[in-house]
Amino acid sequence: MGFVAVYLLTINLSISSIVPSAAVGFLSAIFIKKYSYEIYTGSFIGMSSAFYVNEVSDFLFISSFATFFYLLLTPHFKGIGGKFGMIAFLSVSSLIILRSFV
Amino acid sequence: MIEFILSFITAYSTLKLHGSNRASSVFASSLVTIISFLVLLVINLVVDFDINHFMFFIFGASFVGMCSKEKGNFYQLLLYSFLYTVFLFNFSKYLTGIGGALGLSAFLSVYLGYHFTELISKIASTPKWSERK
Repeated sequence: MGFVAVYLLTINLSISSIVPSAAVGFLSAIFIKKYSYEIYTGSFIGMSSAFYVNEVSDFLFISSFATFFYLLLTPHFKGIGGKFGMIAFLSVSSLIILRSFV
Repeated sequence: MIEFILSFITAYSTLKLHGSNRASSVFASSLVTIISFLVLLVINLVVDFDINHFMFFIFGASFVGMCSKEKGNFYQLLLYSFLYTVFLFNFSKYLTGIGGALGLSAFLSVYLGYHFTELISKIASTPKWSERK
């Protein structure tokens, strides 16, 4: 959700991806508190440029990778700032690496 | 230097916001980023500069401030902010366009900085060889 929202806002409004990402995080922390961390993680993925992420299949792959890394890594890095961004980075990198093999 | 100061102020305010109140770290990080953006917009009316350059530092530094209170006191945050600034200056040119690059820099700075301070405190608390019996 956060991923798609930030991606579409950035592409359509032609603005820096930081403000949409922060706005999505802010709104999710107020209205969808339970899933705000997951949505914020998705918003970081949405900050990727259209050069790397541009097809529907990319969205599906990245979301799957992000879910996998989120479940795998979050319990091990409690209290460490930046882990959601790191998960987002790993997800996008995984797609780029996977694409280089196909 | 200005990037380091901005990073530290952002990280510290984010930590204070979610540490002292009941606000979640997501709320604190996003709120600090939005307020910083508005402040920079106002300053940009008077002084002409690249807002995006500073916003990248501020947004990533707010992730540094998302660490727990136990892992981030004043001096630790100083170290994290310094490491974060160094990482971002060096990594940003290679990671442009990849989502999560700011978070990666923040994560590395907090993770390495925290373990470094833990190591130093362990060494400091270990008795010297001459004091051992």
